[in-house]
This record gives sequence, structure tokens and C-alpha cells, in this order.
Amino acid sequence: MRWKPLFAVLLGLLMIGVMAGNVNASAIPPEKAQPQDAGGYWEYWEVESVTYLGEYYDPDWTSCASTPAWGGNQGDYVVCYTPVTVSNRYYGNLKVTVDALSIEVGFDVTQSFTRVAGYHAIVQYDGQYVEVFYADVYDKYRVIQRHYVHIDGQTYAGETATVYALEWKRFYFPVIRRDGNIQ
Amino acid sequence: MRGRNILIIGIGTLLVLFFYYGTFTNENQTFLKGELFISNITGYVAGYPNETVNLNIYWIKAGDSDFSATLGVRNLPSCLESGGVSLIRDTGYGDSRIKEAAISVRLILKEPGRCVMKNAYLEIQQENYTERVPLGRIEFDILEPARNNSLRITSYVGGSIGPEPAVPTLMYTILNPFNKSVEILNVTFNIPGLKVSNFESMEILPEKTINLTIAITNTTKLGNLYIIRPLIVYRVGTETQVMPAETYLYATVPDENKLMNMLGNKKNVRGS
Repeated sequence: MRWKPLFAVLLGLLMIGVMAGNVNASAIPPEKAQPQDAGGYWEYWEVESVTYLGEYYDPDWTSCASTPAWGGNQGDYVVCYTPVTVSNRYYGNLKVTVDALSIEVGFDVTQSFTRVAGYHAIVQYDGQYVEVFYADVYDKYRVIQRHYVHIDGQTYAGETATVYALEWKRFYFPVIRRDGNIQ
Repeated sequence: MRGRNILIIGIGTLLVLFFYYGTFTNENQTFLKGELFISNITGYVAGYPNETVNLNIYWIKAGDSDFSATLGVRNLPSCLESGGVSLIRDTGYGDSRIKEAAISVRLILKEPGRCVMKNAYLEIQQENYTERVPLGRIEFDILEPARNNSLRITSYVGGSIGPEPAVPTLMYTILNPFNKSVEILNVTFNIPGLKVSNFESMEILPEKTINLTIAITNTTKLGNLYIIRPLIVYRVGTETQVMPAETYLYATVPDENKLMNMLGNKKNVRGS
């Protein structure tokens, strides 16, 4: 029965693994592990809710290409084709850590990357001024955080703070058309 | 008996090596020669005769081959004529093995009437093969030439492109050049799977502008490419008029990570 010693070794390794897992599972989250003072007082923030608010069209446009101020020729194309560094982001009153916020919303709220903004618009008549812009579309989330205070064995819920997280999704391309300035 | 075992083991080893190298070498070659087209456009375009409409399709390649080819548009309906094809090379992907080109197909509207482009394709002739890339299904509503003055669109959202889908939203800033108020009655288009949601009529005072946002809902899963040039229906005094709005181009083009996966499973995404 040569399998018995092998079985014993495997069983031993399994028990060590289970114990290690239990130790890890009972670890206190870092933001709560602050019972330093003798009175047993500490406080922390937690994310209470995440709500998807829909797509958000950033009103901050960046000019990409245009005809001369006096306008272009009919049939010309105004071509915007440029690499742009875009990023996920957040704004508002952040109380939890950036990492905690990223985990709760499901994406890295500080990640940036490069994408090409590409679009072209035709000049419809001689002397028409055409300008092409690019701007960002995000998925927008509202994140409510709540403050907790622990005093002598009791935890009390306190005020809330709101932060908004934006996940970059795509570009949109505003276009302006008008008569060109007369030279 | 022992010699026979050695022979079986030897043959087995050779078979394993054969399958290993055969499989992995072929997968590698498929990937390096892989390409895909995002070309099936769904849309509605209102316009006037002689106006130009641009359709953008995307040609994505992996490996060292380039985009040199002879390009031509075939099988257009009689209401349309090809105005040429141009190619714009993308430099956006960090992984040099993937290259993307946007192909702009220029169409010219001919006689007034309604027609549907559904069998047109882009023919791409390269050294070793000819590819037919379908252009999708677009309904054209070509109006009689405009009689006189009409509303003016001074700014608008001309399109949206990115790696993730989003329901298209149309936005226009409209100037009323008339000396009396105008009522925007409706904004219409006919695209299977997309519809305008909750449009409410709006008044524009004389020589004033309004911002008009058209919310759209999808009744089916969003496609990758749309072109939308809706009709604006408005009333001046007692007269109801229509005019084409500006064109909105929508594209969902996968990012680099998705492309790597798609190029590895080209058969599943061909003609997407």
C-alpha cells in the first residue's frame, strides 16, 4: 500500500491550505483596522451604492480641423484624424481610496489610453466655414459613500459623500457650419 | 515484443510532434494573414439630388501585408452613383501587428424618389485574391430639389465612434431664418431596430435658434455601423415642409484586445 504515505502528505498539504485560507479570510480590511486608541474609537468610509446614470456627453469640445476662416470650396473635406489620450476619471467628493472606488464600479478610474479620433465633414457650398471637433462619451456612475464611526464596540452610520465615476466609451464629433468671413 | 513497443512509441511520438507543429504553425499563419472587415451599414439617408454621402467601412489586418489594392464599388441601385473611394490609414494601435484602414465610399444621390441599397459591395482586388465586402442596407429618400428658404442647422453632432456600443443620439442647433415662428413637428427616419423615442414638438421664434436632441432607442441589438440622415418635419404658418437634417455616422470598432481575439477566430466575425 504505497499510496498511503502519499495520501497522508496530500491531506497534510490540504489542511495547511485550508488554514492559510481561513487566516486570509478573517483578515480585517485595511480601512477598518485602526483601533489604536485606548477608548476603542475609529472611523472609516464605505461605498454604499453605485448607480448607473447612463451615457454622458462631455460638453468640453476640442477643435480638430477646420476650413480657413473665409470658408472652403464646395466638395472639399475637412478631415480630423488624430491620436488622442483619453482616460477614465472621477470627480466629486472622494472619501474611499481610488482602488476601492475602481473595484466598486468595475473599472480602473484612473486608466488612460490612446485612441484615434477620426471624422470628416464635407464643405457644402463655396465660402462655407466648417469646423470639426471631438469630445468624449462616457458611461457615468454615481457612487454614494457613507461615513462610519466606531465607539466602544458600537458602529454608527454618519454622513454621506458623493463621487461620480466616468468610464470612457467613445468619441463624438460636433460640427459647426456657417458662412465664412469675407476677406 | 519489445521492438514492437518501441515502434508504437516512436510512431506515437511522431504523431504528437506532427499535430503540435501542424496545429500551431497553421494557427500562427492564419493569424498573420488574418483580416476582417466591418462593413455592414444599416441606415436611412434623406437628401437632395447631386448631394454626396460618405460611407465609412473599416479594414483591419494583422501581419506585414499592406493595404495596396484596387478598390471599386459595385451593384449600386440606379438612384445612386459612385463618387470614388479613398483610404485613410490608422496608426492608433500600439501593437504593430494590427493595422486599421478606414475606407470612405462616396455616393452621389441621383434622381428623386425612394430606393434601397442592399446588394452593393466594395470589390477589393489584391495580388492573389479578390474580396467582395457587402455595404449593408441603406434606405435613400431623395427629395425634389429645395424650392426656397429653409431652416438652417448651424451645429450638430456628426457622428460617434469607439470600441464600445452606445445608442446613437442626434443633436442639432437649428436657426429659424423666417420672420415668423416655426414649429418642429417631427424628426423621422426608417431604420430597422432603431426608433425616435418621446419626441415632442418645439417652437422656434423668428431668427432664433434652439438646441434639438433626438433620443433614440434600439429595439434589437445594436449593429456596428449606422448612417442616419433624418427628415425634419416643420410648419411655417400653415404650410408643412420637410428638410433633410445633417448626416450622423456611427461606428463601433473593437479595440486592440478584442481585435486580437477576433483575428484568431476570423470565421466567426467575417462580414460582421
